Amino acid sequence: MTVVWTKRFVNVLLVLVAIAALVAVLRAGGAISEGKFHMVSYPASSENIRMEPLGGMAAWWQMQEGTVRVDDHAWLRAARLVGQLVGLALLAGIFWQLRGLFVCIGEGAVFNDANISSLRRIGKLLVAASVLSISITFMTQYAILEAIPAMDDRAIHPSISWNQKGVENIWMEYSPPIIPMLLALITFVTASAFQSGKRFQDDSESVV
Amino acid sequence: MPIVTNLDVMMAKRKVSLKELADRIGISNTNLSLLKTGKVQGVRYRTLDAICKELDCQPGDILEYRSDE
Repeated sequence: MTVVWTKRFVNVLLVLVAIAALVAVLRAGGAISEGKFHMVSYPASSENIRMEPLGGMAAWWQMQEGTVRVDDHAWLRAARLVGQLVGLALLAGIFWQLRGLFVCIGEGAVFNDANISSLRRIGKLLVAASVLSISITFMTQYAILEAIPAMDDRAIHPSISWNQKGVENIWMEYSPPIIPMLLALITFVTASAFQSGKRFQDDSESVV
Repeated sequence: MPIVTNLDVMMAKRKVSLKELADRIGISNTNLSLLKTGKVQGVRYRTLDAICKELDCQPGDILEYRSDE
């Protein structure tokens, strides 16, 4: 891919991030106008699969996944919105750094200080995004658990927990950001490789 | 760096200009100038061979070790 097309491709990604941010803000605006901004829904799944027959056919309505919802938590909704916007800003930052990196490499300047700095910044942004994701999730799950009263036949758990016997266990869903963390690790290793490459290049260029 | 380049001394002895020597050994004026002023990290055997051949000298006439102490 040429430098121009690389720039265009990353520009498109940046526009998509901006659109995602706009959509998040518009949704929040819509929720405020409908008076639903105080509601917070979170995906959850149950271990007990409830099966309801559909008519007389051999078909079933399977209920395993759904959402838990708490009301009167506008602060949590606002915090999640801010977290989402910060996450999108971090993503935009990663794309912006990638843009500079791809352009430099496309122009033939591979092992230089600017590329090493870009790679390190991308790694830091990925770590920040991972930490943000974990923090927001922890905060949300804790707030939901605090808001939902204890029930006899049903127990709501955070993502990391053990099931209870004799009750319906419902877990709040969360996939830890393993891929961003692995990518951050790879990025830091690549930055070190670029640093070594720069050292070799400097040495070879200063030999006559 | 305790390695000192005495290329300028040998060039003066042989009455050869920088440009002339650079042309003869096939490296740029800039690189030869950097070598002469000791602003390089290393010298290739090929370059050393060409310089010694052109100036009719030994590597020790061009490079000298001077201890820092």
